[in-house]
Amino acid sequence: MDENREIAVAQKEALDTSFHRELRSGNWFVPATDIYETQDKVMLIIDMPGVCYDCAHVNIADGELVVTGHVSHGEDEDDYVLYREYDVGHYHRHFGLPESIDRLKIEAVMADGVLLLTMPKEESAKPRRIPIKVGG
Amino acid sequence: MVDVLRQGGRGTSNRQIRANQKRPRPVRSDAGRGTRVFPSIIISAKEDALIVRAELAGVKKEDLNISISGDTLTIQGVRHPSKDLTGGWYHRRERETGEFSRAIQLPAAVDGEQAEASYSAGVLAVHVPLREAAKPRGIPVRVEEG
Repeated sequence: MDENREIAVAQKEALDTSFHRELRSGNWFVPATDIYETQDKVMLIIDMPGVCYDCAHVNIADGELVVTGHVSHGEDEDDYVLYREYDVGHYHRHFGLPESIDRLKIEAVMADGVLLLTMPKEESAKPRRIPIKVGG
Repeated sequence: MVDVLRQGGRGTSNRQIRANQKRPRPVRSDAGRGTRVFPSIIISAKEDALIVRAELAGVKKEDLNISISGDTLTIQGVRHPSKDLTGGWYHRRERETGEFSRAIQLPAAVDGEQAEASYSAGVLAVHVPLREAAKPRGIPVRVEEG
């Protein structure tokens, strides 16, 4: 695909925390996300560097999927920063969840700071062939 | 000193960063600026070492190559797309994949032989000890009578 292309730097998008009372202190960012759909599932691939697997949370409420990740180790407090190109902070993002997703079968895996959510579709939402009977 | 931010012809202007441990000096901050070479970095100093950090979410440890030559640290690697992504379509694509390479001139004399790197949760931290000459040292002050 674009395997040989060089990656460009993407700016981290700061989260507007004024809408989120539960997010009180610290820096918050909107994690960069890919949304990929196949015939039988939807996948979310969410970049949350600095978040270990037990510091990430996925909740479903009111038809929304809410992802939160707390950075566990950013900078050491006693480091003296000479040069900075990015800020370290937590992550938070809401996703609308289509009716076609089977809530009970959502799976989440975290590796190398990336959260992968696999969300299978309900059986009734998957594409299927409708057999045609011979009519009278 | 030229920070080598010019890989791939995408670099920005020459930059200057100087070693200056534990001195209240405004931090040079480029957070929020325009295009640079991936990955973004933070350089910080401890008493006896420099630490270079970079966020590399989605890069596997075995796809990461860190080297140091003189006072130039090079971070190279590749971020592959997830394997399961076939036969479907993207609704949203915010994460880039591909190769990256960045050379960083460190702002102090370092002992590259003793450098160590750790990688956890997509965050790289390279710990490079300072050479003796670059470490801060106290200078005793003699008070003369009179």
